[in-house]
Amino acid sequence: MEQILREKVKELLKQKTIDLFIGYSISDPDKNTYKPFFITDPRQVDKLTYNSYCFNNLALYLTKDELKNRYKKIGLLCKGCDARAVITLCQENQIERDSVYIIAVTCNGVYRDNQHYEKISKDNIADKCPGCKVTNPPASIADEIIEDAIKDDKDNPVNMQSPISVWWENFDKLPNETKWLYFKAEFDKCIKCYACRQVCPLCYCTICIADQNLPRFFSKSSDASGNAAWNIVRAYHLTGRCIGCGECERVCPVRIPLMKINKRMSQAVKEFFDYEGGLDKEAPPALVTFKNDDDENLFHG
Amino acid sequence: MTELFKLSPFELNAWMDLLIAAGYPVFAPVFEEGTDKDNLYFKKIKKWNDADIGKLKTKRGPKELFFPINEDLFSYKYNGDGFTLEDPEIEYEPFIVAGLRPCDTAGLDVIDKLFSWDYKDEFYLKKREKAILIAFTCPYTDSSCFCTSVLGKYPYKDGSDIMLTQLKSKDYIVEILTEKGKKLLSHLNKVINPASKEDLKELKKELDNIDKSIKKIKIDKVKSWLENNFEDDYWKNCALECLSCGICTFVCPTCHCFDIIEDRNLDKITRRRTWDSCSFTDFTRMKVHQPRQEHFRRWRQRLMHKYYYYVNNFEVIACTGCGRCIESCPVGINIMTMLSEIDDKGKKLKAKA
Repeated sequence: MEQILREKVKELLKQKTIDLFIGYSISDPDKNTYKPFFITDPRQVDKLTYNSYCFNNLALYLTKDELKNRYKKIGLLCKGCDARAVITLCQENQIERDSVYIIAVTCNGVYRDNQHYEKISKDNIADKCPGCKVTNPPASIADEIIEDAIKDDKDNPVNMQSPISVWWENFDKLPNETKWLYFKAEFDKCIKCYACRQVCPLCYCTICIADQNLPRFFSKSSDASGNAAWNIVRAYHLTGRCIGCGECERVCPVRIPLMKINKRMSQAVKEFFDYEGGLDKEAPPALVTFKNDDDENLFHG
Repeated sequence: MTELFKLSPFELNAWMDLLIAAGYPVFAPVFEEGTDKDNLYFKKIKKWNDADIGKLKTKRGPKELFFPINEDLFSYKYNGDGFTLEDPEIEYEPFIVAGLRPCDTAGLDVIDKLFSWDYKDEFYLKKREKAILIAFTCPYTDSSCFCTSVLGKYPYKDGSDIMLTQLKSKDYIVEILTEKGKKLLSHLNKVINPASKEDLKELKKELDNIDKSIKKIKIDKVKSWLENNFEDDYWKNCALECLSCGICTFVCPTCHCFDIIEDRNLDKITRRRTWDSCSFTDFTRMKVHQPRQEHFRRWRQRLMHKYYYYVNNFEVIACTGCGRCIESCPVGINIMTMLSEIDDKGKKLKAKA
């Protein structure tokens, strides 16, 4: 798979179909880490790699002005998560579909950390992956597809039930007060480094509400009220949009379980509007669409 | 002053527990609970057994013990016909930080220079004065460590009051480096064996081994290149992957930028300082202008500040080679690689001249 990818990228760069390709390369062999890799010179393609340690969602670079202004057409390696982000960005008119060239690849799920593993299994797969619908990214978004066969059986960890949903099944039964205390304690840890926002492909506001200081909506200091406000505002802002790539949770230096919040919000949108973000480019996003038969129970809680 | 003693792990344990019993608040690396359970933080401990000194680095450096994420400066209240000012109630008492690494204490030495510069920062300096630092040399090193390239031969001792090294025999060699440190040793009410010649040999071997295991990069031309190449095209092309989050600066043991803000709670308004980061898009933004609008300008500020401005002002590099920024970066940006690149440029420049 890697070899096919390299050949394709080499070809695209040589023919000047794309000016820049964003993929992955190894970052630190000792720690088994991989990082986003920007490539403009076809001679560098040998550094391109792709495997289950390639965690980053690369779609986030598509909305960065520094890159948009410099490169006319950007090639992007897309696993399912990245493809869903691209679809959402198209839906929200943040990128021109023609300005990107998408190479979609099969993803068997990613590992939960950087330890050396032989093969993806239910013990080492990231929590966000089970239940994934885009192991092969939607063909409608891709310019090229490099597919790998995925075993469609119950033993395949991506087909397992999502551990986050299982967690919520029990947690949802608790009284609201207890639930609030749990999340409040988690938010208290926040140090406001805003890595969750910066790494999110859908947090593309030029000036975030957290950065506005005339007026200030919530405190810049990481005290309890400001922390909860920030995390709740972000959760609301992603409701019905979050594509579940889990990058926010992965990079959080204090490990706030952000995916628990995001998944629950997505689940609610699914229940009320039968909509999931980033699966269909032509679908109108749930929260900007009004229908006469929208479920009123949403407002009753 | 240097005095060397030898302690068994059992004696170390007893000594630390005696210090806690004597009323010293002791802060040491402790694993966080819950979702954050893989990360170590400096926290107050009840007994020495709670501390974990086997893992190499805490997630964030020890700077937050002296320069907290949020720190109240004063508060005021409207009382009908004017304002009443209130100072925060802080009691400064002696406390111990144990389980620091040499790169951690070096970080504090760096921040000291700034907080005791033209303005003497009372909040920081008073805490600093009361603190007694017990450093432990590293049990192992990893691929993001490069302290010897910045601080010189391992270990950096200047910042610590006491430094402990564990030998192969599991016993510790205790180096008493300051008067403050010596006072602590008197709490162990028994005769302590001075280190023998054999022990010292072992100690040297141990430290040499650690020194050898740390990656070396050359950075001596970095400053001269930075000095002359503020407008170089290098900046526009470097670190394009950077996301402008604040992780690297928040985990850094030397980064000390802060913002001063006011938080209101009902009728009481508190002015406090809170950590800021040069990578944030609103860093140094003023009413009419943001001089570092583009991302590369903020990134350049980060490197310039650490390896050029700070060196000019205080003759010390504002980096201790701890490698925390490398470990925490969401997109794997490696400052070691960048420094090597810049050093190479510096060399070429010199060759040309």
